[in-house]
Amino acid sequence: MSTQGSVADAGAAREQAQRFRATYAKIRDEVGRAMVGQDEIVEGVLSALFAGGHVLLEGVPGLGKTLLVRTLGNAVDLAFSRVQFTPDMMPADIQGTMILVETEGGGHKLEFQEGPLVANLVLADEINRATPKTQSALLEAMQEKQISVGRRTLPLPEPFCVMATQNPVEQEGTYPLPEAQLDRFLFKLVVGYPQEREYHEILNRTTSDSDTQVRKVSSAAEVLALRHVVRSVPVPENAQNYAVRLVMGTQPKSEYSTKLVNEMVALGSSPRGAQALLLGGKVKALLAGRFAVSSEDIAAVAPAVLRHRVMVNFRAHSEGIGAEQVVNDVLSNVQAAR
Amino acid sequence: MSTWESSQPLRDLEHLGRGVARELRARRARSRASERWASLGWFMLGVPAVAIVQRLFDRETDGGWVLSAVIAGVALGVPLVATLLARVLAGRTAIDARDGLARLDHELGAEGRLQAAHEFLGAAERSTFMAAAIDDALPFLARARTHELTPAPAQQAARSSWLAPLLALALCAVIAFVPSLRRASEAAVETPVALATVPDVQRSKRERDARTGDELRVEPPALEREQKQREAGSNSKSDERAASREPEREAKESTGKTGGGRSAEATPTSSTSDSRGFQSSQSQPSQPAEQSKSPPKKPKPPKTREPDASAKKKLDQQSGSTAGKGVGSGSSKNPGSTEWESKDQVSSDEEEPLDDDQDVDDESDESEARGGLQPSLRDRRPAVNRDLTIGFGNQVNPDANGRGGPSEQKKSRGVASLVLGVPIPDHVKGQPNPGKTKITQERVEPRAENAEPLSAAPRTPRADALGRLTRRELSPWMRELVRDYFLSMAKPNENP
Repeated sequence: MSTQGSVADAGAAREQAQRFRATYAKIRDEVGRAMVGQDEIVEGVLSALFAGGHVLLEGVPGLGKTLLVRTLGNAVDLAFSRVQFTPDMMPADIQGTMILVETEGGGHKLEFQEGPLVANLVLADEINRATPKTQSALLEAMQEKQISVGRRTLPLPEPFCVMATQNPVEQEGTYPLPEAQLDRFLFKLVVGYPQEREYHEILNRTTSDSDTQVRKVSSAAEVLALRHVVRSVPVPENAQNYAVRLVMGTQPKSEYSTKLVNEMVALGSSPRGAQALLLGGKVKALLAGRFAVSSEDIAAVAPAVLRHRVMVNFRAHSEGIGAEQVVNDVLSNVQAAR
Repeated sequence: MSTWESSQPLRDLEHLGRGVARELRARRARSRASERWASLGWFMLGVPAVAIVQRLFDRETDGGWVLSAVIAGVALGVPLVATLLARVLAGRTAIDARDGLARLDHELGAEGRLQAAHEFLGAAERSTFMAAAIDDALPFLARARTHELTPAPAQQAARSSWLAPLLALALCAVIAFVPSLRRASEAAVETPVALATVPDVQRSKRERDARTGDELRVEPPALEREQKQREAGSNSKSDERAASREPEREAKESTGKTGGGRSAEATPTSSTSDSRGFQSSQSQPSQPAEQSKSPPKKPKPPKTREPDASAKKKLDQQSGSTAGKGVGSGSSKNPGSTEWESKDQVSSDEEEPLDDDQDVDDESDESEARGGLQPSLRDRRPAVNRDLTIGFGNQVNPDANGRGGPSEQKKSRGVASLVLGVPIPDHVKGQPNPGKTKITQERVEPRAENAEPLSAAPRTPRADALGRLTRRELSPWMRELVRDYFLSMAKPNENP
């Protein structure tokens, strides 16, 4: 059998992959000028940006979640908007509404005033403080990349990325995100405390007179182009099988579910979870210098992809078992082909 | 041209994959066999152990080495056959070449490159990234050609699994020596004592036999004893039953006597007649004579339990009901009295069953006694407490008896709730406590109201303005704007 490949084909792919890695590294370094440590979180946020997904950042106050997203918006030269969610916020506050404007001839007319959702990078700060009504206003924007107000449907600019933050504490007066909303986030990244040496760096940067300016090192067009590169990465059959088995492994009473899943999980991941595994795996593969997704890439992104898609039941809550432990159990029991 | 543009890499990958798959299959067969062999260790050791125990107690069989060989054959042959079977079955299950490549990927740290290259080389159309992936896998393919799979840890563990068969063989050898060992030990103790033990043994055997015979013979007396006991028990039960029947018979006889004559000694059998007698001594002297006409009463079952308590209760009822009049018995057909008894008195199963005939007779007696002109005064019990007040501070009214008022569940006919000024707790079904108390009427102190007397005057037409309108009229442009807005909303499928 004669193969049809050529060096030119491979060379083009290598060049694209190289460009992706270079852009990625530039953005990461620029973000790193303002953000100390949290390498995994920065990598996750950038992966979601290039994979075309949204990110839910969870962490206690003061860890730099908002700073990270704001810095990213500055570094990539994206239209950035920040929405502080409050319980009295209405859908029109984020989508936009009709307002009365004066025309040139002295008359008046109603015009659609865009809300903060019409941007490339939207920081939804403390998203769980808004009512479900307002949270649901994000559903269409996050999935279909458009908003509907009245009879008007407005497509959102590409790239469109929602980065939401929420606090794991101070749950009083908050509205937990519904499952449909959670499922639309590609990753849920848990922001932890910095290391000791990072504390020193944070203190030196933030308490001195120097002001760190973040430069624009990329653009929306480049991000869009690199998204196409990410989607070009092929997925071999074994890696796809592994992703499907992992997702099925989180579903109770399925073929690959473990004992822990059958007993502790109320709701497993949806097919969107498998899509997110493959997209995240593609970014991982490119960053690792490979041109196809491997099972290792799938396993690497699985915790961030699956932890917010697994709903544990009351028994799990009572026994102190969370979604993180369930995902780890699935990862250790569902094996890739070896 | 790249090095993978020929079909050689694909053939190499398939060859490598098949080779590794063969090796994996053989390893799996060996692993299964070794697992089965190790799992049957208990059988290898158990069979000779049982044979040794059996030969220690069996003095007649003397197989020697032949028996040992047979036992060794069984102890090792069965596991061997089972192991071979497991190995053959495991070896029959095929392993795909892709699984072999996955193993190579894992051992070489190729992160799926070989698998991806194998898949992409077989694809009809290749993207640039597929081509790059194949190109990326070539160095790992070169390494895979010279790579030897790491030995499985199960093979190293299998070496220790030969301990059980060796021990089994040793035990089989011991079997052959058991008779000679036993003879040697017997010869060592072959003395008069040893000889004397034989008759002892025989004697003890005889004694055992005799004891067994005695025990067997003892059984019939034991059975007889049991039978006797059973008979005695049945006799005693029948005696008891007979004894219990005797008072009944006596009671029947006495009833007959009581019904036959009206003597003063016969009256204490019925408390009602006693009370009636007392009443008659006060107001109706002819009552006993009328009573003598009544038919004989039904016999009552003898009271065997707590006669004092029932008598006391009887007395209480009489004292509570007579109130100087002496009416002692109430009719069970009166619903009011039955309710009263069931709710406010402690009822017990030991109460006598009410005699309807007697009640009817009592009523007729009473009506006759009072000429039917007076209401029946039988129910002169304390009136039901109808105090409907509620305690303050949501405290339960101790006088609440379920017939209106602040009880948890109303059993009245709703009268209390219709009376104004009665506090009614809102009882919400399913709630553990009654809700807030709703008072339907407030106490209002009357107040004097001073009003100026109106002076009559003729009504004249209104002369001043209408006043300010609260709703402002829209300006024309505003009205037009609103109209345009609603017209635009009415147009279907209009996008900006």
